[in-house]
Amino acid sequence: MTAVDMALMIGAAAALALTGMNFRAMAWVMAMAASYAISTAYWRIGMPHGAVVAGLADAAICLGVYFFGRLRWEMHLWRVFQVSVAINVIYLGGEVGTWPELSHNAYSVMLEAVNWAALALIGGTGIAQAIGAANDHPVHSILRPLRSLFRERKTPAFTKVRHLWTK
Amino acid sequence: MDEIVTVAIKAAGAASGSALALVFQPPKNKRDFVVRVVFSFGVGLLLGQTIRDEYLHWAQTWETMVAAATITSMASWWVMGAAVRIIGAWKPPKD
Repeated sequence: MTAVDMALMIGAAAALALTGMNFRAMAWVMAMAASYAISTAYWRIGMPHGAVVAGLADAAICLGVYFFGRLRWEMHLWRVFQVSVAINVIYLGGEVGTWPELSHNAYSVMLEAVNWAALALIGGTGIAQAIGAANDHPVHSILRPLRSLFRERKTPAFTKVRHLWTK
Repeated sequence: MDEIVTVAIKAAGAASGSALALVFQPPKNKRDFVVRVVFSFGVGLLLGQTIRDEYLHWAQTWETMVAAATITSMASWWVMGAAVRIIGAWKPPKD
């Protein structure tokens, strides 16, 4: 395990501790950790096209957040994972020779940044919830801008939209 | 046997293109989902190789075949979405 892995593990543990028993937030942190572990293990045993596995894992989380996420902060998390999938696609395209290749260091740094952004979002939302940003109490008016994070998402998942087939 | 492998490679590319498009631009409802999946998968499967050889001029490897089918499939997902939106917005003139 490298220092980068260790730092990310500590970050994930901190984000997990800050979720305040929000089970969906805990699930997203666990899913992120599993995705990181699977893609890193695949890469380190020397298998080809590691970005495929990393991209598939991130796409699975992305779809999970899209289908099961309920609040607006989860939709921000969905966007963060979309960026992660896009980075994997760009790297993979360069690897197979369709466009100029992205250096592995740049790819790793960008993925790390996305992982930290996701952890910061989950942890930050947990902190905001703990200090009362989700409440409507006037004492918390200073936290009003954060309140939108805890509102219901604007657009539901397409599986929850009722539509007649013979419209 | 080679043809089966080629079709399988194209199908894998087309399926991954549809899946990627779903990740980036989910449809509005189930009907839209079915229409877009069928259309983008079909286009990726049928036109992926042609797009690669005629327009993209990529090397002829199985990886570029998958990439071309993926890109074609993704692009057709967006085109289909735009077409559905335009057709939905258009109202025929009243008699």
